[in-house]
Amino acid sequence: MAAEGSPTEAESHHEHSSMRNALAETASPRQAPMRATGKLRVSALVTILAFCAALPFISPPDTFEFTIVLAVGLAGLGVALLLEAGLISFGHALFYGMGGYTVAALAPVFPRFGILLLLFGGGVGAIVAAIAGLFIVRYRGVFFAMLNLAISMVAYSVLLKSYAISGGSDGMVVQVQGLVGQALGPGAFGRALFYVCLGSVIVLGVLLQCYRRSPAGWGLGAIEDREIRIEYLGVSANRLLLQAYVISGFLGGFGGAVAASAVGHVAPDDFFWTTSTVLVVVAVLGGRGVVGPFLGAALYELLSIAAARYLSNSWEILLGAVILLVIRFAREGFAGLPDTWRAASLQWRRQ
Amino acid sequence: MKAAPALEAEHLFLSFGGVQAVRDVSLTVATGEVLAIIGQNGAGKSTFLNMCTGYLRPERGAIRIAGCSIVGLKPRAIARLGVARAFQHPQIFPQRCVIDHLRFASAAARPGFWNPFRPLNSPQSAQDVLQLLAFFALDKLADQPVRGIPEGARKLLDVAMALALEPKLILLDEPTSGVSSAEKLGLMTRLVHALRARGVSAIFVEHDMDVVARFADRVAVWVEGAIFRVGSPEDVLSDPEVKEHVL
Ligand SMILES: Nc1ncnc2c1ncn2[C@@H]1O[C@H](COP(=O)(O)OP(=O)(O)O)[C@@H](O)[C@H]1O
Ligand SMILES: [Mg+2]
Repeated sequence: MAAEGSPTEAESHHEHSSMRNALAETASPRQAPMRATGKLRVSALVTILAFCAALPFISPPDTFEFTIVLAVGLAGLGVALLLEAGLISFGHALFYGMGGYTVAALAPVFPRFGILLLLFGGGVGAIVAAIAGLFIVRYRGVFFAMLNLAISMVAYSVLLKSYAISGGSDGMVVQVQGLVGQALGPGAFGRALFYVCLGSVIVLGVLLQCYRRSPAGWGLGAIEDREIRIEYLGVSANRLLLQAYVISGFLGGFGGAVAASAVGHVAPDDFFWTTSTVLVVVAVLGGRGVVGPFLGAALYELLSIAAARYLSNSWEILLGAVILLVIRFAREGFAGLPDTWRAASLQWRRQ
Repeated sequence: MKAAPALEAEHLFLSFGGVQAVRDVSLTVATGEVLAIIGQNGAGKSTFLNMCTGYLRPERGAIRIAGCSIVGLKPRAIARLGVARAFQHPQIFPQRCVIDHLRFASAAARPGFWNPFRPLNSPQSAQDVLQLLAFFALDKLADQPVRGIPEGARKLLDVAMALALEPKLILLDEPTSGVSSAEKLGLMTRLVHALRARGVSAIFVEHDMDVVARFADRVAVWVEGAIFRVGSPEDVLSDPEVKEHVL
């Protein structure tokens, strides 16, 4: 046995080291441009973040809108995460609404600890996702999309009916006065909320990026390709999906909590399917990845402002036209535009 | 006390809408044994492997892996018992690059798979992954998406993923079809050598009788859903009836 084992080891060891040399030779020229684009990406990201941080100074009256963009972007990020598995949810308003109502319900208890309330909002989103997910992650395609919609609509009607707790169709007032223990005036609160939200976006974005690079995050994308192979490797595809679903529930809840804190009011409409649609539009406009949904949310907000100003009754036409353009010319969404352009120009040159 | 065999199948039956694809198949694979399955297309070889891995459920009969009954278990549960499989038609992820397949399979076999802070490209498995790449001569293709690589390389990647799981029993469905005949013998030599060095039991479906004669401890001949002969390669391959049915 030992005699048989040792030559194998020696052989494979030899193979391995020659392999490493071979890799080292081929890897360096190939990885150099990769590293360069990586650096470019990081510096682009830092520039964008610095620009975002300056926004409340560039245009102070719009701080509220900026905060909403981040909130909707966070929730859209949850939808975009599931898109990586090839699944679309038409019910993420459930988590968005849950986050908002959690803040509304708990604000009287912790009126000056907005940060805590945001975390609770995300936590409730995650818990709701974990419970609903046990059932939902067994389904794929249209069934997945529709089950999400169905559950969110059930929550919507329960909310409407339970007037004593939820205020029914009137909704609830959200009274958050501070974020870390101090009561703030309205202007200062708005600005503080924006920065807390921007900080959360950075932290959550980094965490999410870690997850996407982990084996489970990789497996999530592989579900779309060939689920059965994942199972044959001893990994549960449903469990991969459940993990992503809980993360996406957290993001939805957190986004909803931010929005509720900024608006100062929650209403059953937060649970309505139209809210879910907005999140899907944001995810599709923005594209996959961590940055995309925020670009999508910014675009959506810009469009709705432009429409309100210039096209008061035909906002859907504008939105529809933009969605068509994105699907026709930017399949990977706005965040994917550089790649799409590069591919298109390559093809153009070949022709 | 004698350890249970790696695989025991007893009196398996399965039909697809009137077509009897498997008829009273019984087969035992001892621990560490390398068994070849030969037979014409449509003889039921892949169907047998599908039953052993939980993809299909036999209508009658028993299957035990290391003494543990697996009829009714899902593919995932059977994989967790240490059974890995490569497919006749490679089951890989077309959008993903070659090396990530092996990183994923390697992570799937280790604790910490669910840790979101442990990267796919983790140092613990990096060595094993590089070794596997080199072993199957896939190192030049490491960073390429698999939808663009040649069929032979896709087959090898599928086998490499099965091996990355460090299984106790491995089921290979025509592992070298699509691999050029020049590379075939060298590859099988190393593969079987690696399996034997690790004490992995194996079943492989094969059409090349040279490969069968060189590498199998025993050969099972499938004819129309039933086992026609089982025995040593010398006996079976020289049997005139086998020649008539299979060759
Ligand atoms: N999923 C299936 N549905 C219907 N018939 C099948 C299915 N899988 C295999 N068969 C039939 O069962 C028989 C055995 O097929 P298979 O096991 O693939 O043969 P082999 O691998 O030996 O070439 C064939 O007649 C095939 O047509
Ligand atoms: Mg077959």
